[in-house]
This record gives sequence, structure tokens and C-alpha cells, in this order.
Amino acid sequence: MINVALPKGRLGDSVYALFDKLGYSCPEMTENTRKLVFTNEEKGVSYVLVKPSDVAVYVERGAADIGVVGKDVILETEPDVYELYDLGFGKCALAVASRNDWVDDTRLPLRVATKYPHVAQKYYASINRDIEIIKLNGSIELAPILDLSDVIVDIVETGKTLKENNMGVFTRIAESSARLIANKSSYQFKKAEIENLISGVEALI
Amino acid sequence: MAITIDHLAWEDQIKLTLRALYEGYGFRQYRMGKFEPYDMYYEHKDFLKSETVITFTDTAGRLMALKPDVTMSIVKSTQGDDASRKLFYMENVFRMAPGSREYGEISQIGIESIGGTDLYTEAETLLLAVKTLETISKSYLLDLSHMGFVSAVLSACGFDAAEREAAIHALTHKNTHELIALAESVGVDAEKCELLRAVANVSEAPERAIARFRTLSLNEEMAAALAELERGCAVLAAAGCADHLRIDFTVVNNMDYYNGLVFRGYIENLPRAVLAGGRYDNLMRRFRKPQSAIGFALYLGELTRAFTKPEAYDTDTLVLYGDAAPETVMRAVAFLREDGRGVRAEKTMPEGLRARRIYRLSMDGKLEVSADD
Repeated sequence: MINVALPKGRLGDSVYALFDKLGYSCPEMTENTRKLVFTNEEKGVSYVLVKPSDVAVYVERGAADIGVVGKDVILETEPDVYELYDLGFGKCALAVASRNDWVDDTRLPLRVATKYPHVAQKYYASINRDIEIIKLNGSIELAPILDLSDVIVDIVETGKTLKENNMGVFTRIAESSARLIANKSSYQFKKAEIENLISGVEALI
Repeated sequence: MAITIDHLAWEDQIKLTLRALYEGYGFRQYRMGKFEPYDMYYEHKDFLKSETVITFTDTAGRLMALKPDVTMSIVKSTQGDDASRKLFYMENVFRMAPGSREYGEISQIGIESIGGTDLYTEAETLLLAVKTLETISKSYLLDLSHMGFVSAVLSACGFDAAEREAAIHALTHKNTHELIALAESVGVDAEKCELLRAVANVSEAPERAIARFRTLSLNEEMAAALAELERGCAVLAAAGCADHLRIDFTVVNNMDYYNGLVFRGYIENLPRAVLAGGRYDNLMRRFRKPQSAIGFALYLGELTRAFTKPEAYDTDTLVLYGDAAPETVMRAVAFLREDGRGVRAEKTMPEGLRARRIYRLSMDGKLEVSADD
């Protein structure tokens, strides 16, 4: 039995579609139910759908053997897991963005609004820039508009939201896409199953 | 009533069994003080898995640390002479548990073999690591790696310090895609990329893995490290303990402290490695000690949670004595205890108490079963 943690939403749906094609089917997944755990004994697979930022926690602590999570979350939380495969979809970038007319005033600490405080801290420490973190949980783009912050560090897919708000990307910190991760202990004991799944995914992508 | 090991809590059973195992191989117990001067840990803080140490000022105004680690204390207290020392310890250390931001008390058991450099010492340490894991569960694996080999591979690729750090990070996460991307971006050739890929992906039985890496290995240093691994595995195989060994070069410990053989033990259904160890001559050098040293530690925290079975009952037998006289209750309890059962006496039924069998005691001393599971 292999236990899979998938992120709720579009990314999780496309990963399930992929696993379904490989035979790891669980028809209940696509039905509209309130169930939390989906198990198909016959195919030897069990799924849980969790908040994207929680997938790595489930895998790291062994509640799931494998999972799919964005590289952005991995960079932020640095879970102690194996990152076995880059699925290549869900592409985006972790970037510094601000109003188009923003000019960095190096005399003052930079105010950075973000959902990714760890990534932001690490990036600015690497360029020796003093910052002040403002941790937000959503609508990050609003911060520079209301002068809550100078810049934001956030994921950017198409940049459309930024453009509509007269904002733009100044620096790309890291590229992100969906990654297949595995619990370090599960990998030892279910290596054949996990590798079989990965080579299947590799063949499909 | 005979007292057996089953009366002990799981953790105590393990401690007793392991003590017998280590003493059986001639190891002596090392006991450390609760506090040590903080500067030692500060100087070598990279050796600790978490940097944060609980500190306080002692009565003489020195900054002290509540022991976060045992190995370092053993190294410090070791004389820099030729004598060989075989020590084991069972201590509680204080540090942040993995994945948490809180300090915790972590029960740690381990052995340190100081002074022996030969193959027997190395194989004996591995054997004891295997037997330690076996004590806990029959379903375990011990991953072996060699810092000399990994270091030689990274050096052959010509990474600079920052690239090397990034490569090690990718390696420890079996992140082949980023490891190869990094190598290609700095112009590492195809042959070495293939070697890197194999190093990141390997997790298989020693014989096959070592044979494969021998064909991939590029220089003397790599060959020597492989030969050392191979000899160690062969000794263990001769002792009939090789079935649970795997070669996995993504087991990489801090190179400032560790060199040579390193290893990590896993138990099925436990999410993290429970045992870690290796040869740490470099740590010895940092303390200006000339000897070689090798050892490992077992972390009991998560194990205790996983192996402590839920209790079905709070007490085996419950006696509800109502208005019976104390002497009558005493007699009844003594009578029931003769069978070796745990007997709890209460005037009335405590709320939520789970008992295998419940007796009611009448005023005239008659016991009557009122519930029996």
C-alpha cells in the first residue's frame, strides 16, 4: 500500500489524473464526497487531499509515503524529505515585485510583505540587504499599493495580476514547479513501488 | 510474584537489553554531567543537529549549557593517548526536536569506540548498530555511505565552496534533477554527471552497489573508499548480519567532523532515521586528539511513541468496597493480589476508569464479580 498526499485544487487534480493513468486509480476521488481519505485496496493506493502547504508535513512525518508539492513550499519550509522528481507543471517563480515606479532607498531597511518569510530572509541575507518582514497570508499585491511594504516576495505565474495593478517583477529569486517528494523512511522500505511510479510518470511526461 | 522484563515500560526494556548487548562487547558506561561550559558547544556548534542550546549562568558567572549532545563531551574528556576506549551511554539531552521550534528532552543511547582504527573496530560498530536496530524491530535497514567517496566525487566535479554546498544539499534530498542541472551549469562533463546521478540514486544491497560503483569510479581515492566499504560489509556478511544493509551515498554528515564510514538506521513505519553514526576523526582533531573514533546514537523519542502499546485498562482488577471496614478491604485486596494481578480499591466507581474485572465487596467480606471482560 502506498499512501499519497496531494494538494487540494488544480495541481492535485492534474497529478491524480496522471497517477490514474498509471493504474493508481481511486474512482471515489473524482466523486463529490465529504470523505477525507480515499483508499483502493485492490490497486494498493490511498490518497489524502490536504492544503498545498501541508503536503510536505504529511510526508515528512510519515502520514503519507509520497506527495506532490510546489518547489516554493519546499524552499519555504525546507522539509526533511527526498525530492525525487520534477513534474514540470505548475510552473511559477518566486520573485521580488513592486510598483513600477518603486526605487530602492538603501538608506532604510526594506519592508518586504510576503507569505514566504524564510525565502525572503534567506534571499536578502545573501545580498546583505537589511529588511523588515511583514508576514501576510493572502492578497500580497495589496501591500505596496497601500504603502504597507516597499516590495513583495511572492509567486508569479503570468504576471497578469501585477500588470493590472501597475506592478512588475524586479528580481526572480527561484523557479518553482511541482515536485514529487517521498518520506525518507518510506523510500527505504517501499523503494520498488516508489521508483516504479516515478518511471511511469517519467514515461508519461 | 516473579518480576519479568515485561513489567518494564518499553523504553526501559530497550535500555536494559541494549546495556546487556554493549556490556557483552566490553563497552563501559559513560555518565556525563548535566551542565557543561557553553563555549565548547559554541565553538563546535555545527556539529550539533540544532544550533540552539539551553544556556544559563552558573554561580561563578560562567555561561553553562544544559547538555545538548554526548559525543562531544566524551571527545573532550578523552585523554589524547594511545589507549583504546569503548564506551556506551544512555542520557537525556536537551535540544530542539526535528521539525519543531520547541526544546525537548531527547533520550539518546549510543556507543563510542575511541582509539581503534582497524577494520574490526569499524565492523564491530556496524554490527552493534545492526543489533541495536534488531532489538527494536525485525523490519529495519541500515544505510551505509562513505564520506571519503562522496567527497572525492564532489572534488572530481570541481565545484567551488558554494556549489559544493548546493550539491550536498541536492544530494541529501536525492534531488537528481537539481544536482545534474547544477553540474551541467558549471561545465561538469557527461561521465561525471553520470557518476553524480548514480551517487544520488543508489539505495541497494552492498554487493551490487559496490560492483557498479567500481566501474564508475574515477580515481584512487574513490576506489579506496569503495574497498573500505566492501571490506566492512564482507565482515558483517560473514557474521550473518548483512541482509539489512544498503549502500546509500545520500547519507552525508558534516564533513568538518565526519570522515570515512557513515551510516543511518531506519525502522519500518517510523518516519525518520532513528540511528545515526560514523567515523569522526575530524571532530577528534578539532579537540586536538590524535585518535580515530567511530560511534553511533539511537534516538528513543519517536520510537517510544511508536512502540508503547495503548493500555486497554487502567487497572486489572477493581474492588468497590462501599461501606466495608478497612480491615475487610485489606484482606480482600491481599487475597486478590495473590494471583499477581494489580488490584485497585475504591469506595465508589471512579468515573471513566477501565478495569478488566470489577468486584463488589460486601460488609461481611464477600467478593462478588460485577463485571468481567
